Amino acid sequence: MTLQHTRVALLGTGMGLTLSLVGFSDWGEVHHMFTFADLRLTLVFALTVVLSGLGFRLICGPGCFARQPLHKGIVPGSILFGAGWALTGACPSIGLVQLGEGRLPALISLAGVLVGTFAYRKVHARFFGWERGGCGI
Amino acid sequence: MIEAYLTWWSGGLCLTAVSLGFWVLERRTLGISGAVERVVFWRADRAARDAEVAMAQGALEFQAAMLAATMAEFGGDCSEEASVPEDRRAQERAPLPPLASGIRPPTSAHLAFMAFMAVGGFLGALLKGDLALRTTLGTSFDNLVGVGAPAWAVLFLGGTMVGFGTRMAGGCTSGHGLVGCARLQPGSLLATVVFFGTGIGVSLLLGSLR
Repeated sequence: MTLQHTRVALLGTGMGLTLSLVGFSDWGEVHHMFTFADLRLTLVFALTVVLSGLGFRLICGPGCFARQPLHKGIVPGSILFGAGWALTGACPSIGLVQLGEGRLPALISLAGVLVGTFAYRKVHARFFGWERGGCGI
Repeated sequence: MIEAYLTWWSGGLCLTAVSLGFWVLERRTLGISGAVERVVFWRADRAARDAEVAMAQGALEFQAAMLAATMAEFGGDCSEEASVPEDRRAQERAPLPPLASGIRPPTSAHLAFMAFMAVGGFLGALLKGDLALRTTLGTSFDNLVGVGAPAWAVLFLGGTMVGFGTRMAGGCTSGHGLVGCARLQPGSLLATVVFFGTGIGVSLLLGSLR
């Protein structure tokens, strides 16, 4: 365990705890969000985006807002992801939170996530090969 | 269903603390699906990191060699001008944040982040008072998707779509949805509209099928 591991452990715990307490790990709540039966989770999401945007302006500056290029994978990838999220509730971090809460079916969703991640890299290298950008980790 | 969930504003404040805290502490943006990929391809990730470390060390050695060569050429006089001030040296010895040093975090840091997300879920269930081993995702899931083997097949297929789709799109709810949208990235805004839209469509379809 280095200092970095301790930091990410704290951040991971904070994120998992928040997602759990706010109800994002509850499949029914996510379903209610997608069917507009309950706007609470949508508001959580929207508030986080707005406050984080203001925060990035303050602590990071224009560097964080430099435009990254679009790529061909965004639309088809997001269609697959959105459908998978609606079916499993795993987005994929929520799958880990569900598992921590003792919801065993999350093991199956997470196995699928690992297989899908593995398959995409192989398919990408073989057939696509465009620049994927990514979210900067 | 539990009615003890956080309000939308307190949930939003906590998630903001995580997304901004990640930037402040780690100097990179939050992104789960990318971390998953680094863990799945841990061997390639480790090799890439080793190369980055070697490159960074090489640059320092190159700098030292240049300084020595300059001093050999022009005599020792320039050593004072050329020598780096002490406070800057101290800065260079201090561990640099990952982005600034150009060295990616070790794979184990991604793994730790993911593992402790589950720990957070465990603590959350403990606080909510509903910690228990459950073989279902809840009554809504049982009613709308089903139970037993067919439901497990849907979970596996859906999980595969999540893994494949997030890597194809280059991000998930955290990287594109939260942080990318907050940074007004056009690709992230597009991705978020598309995955939310598809989620809405599939969920409405699930509801109308039952």
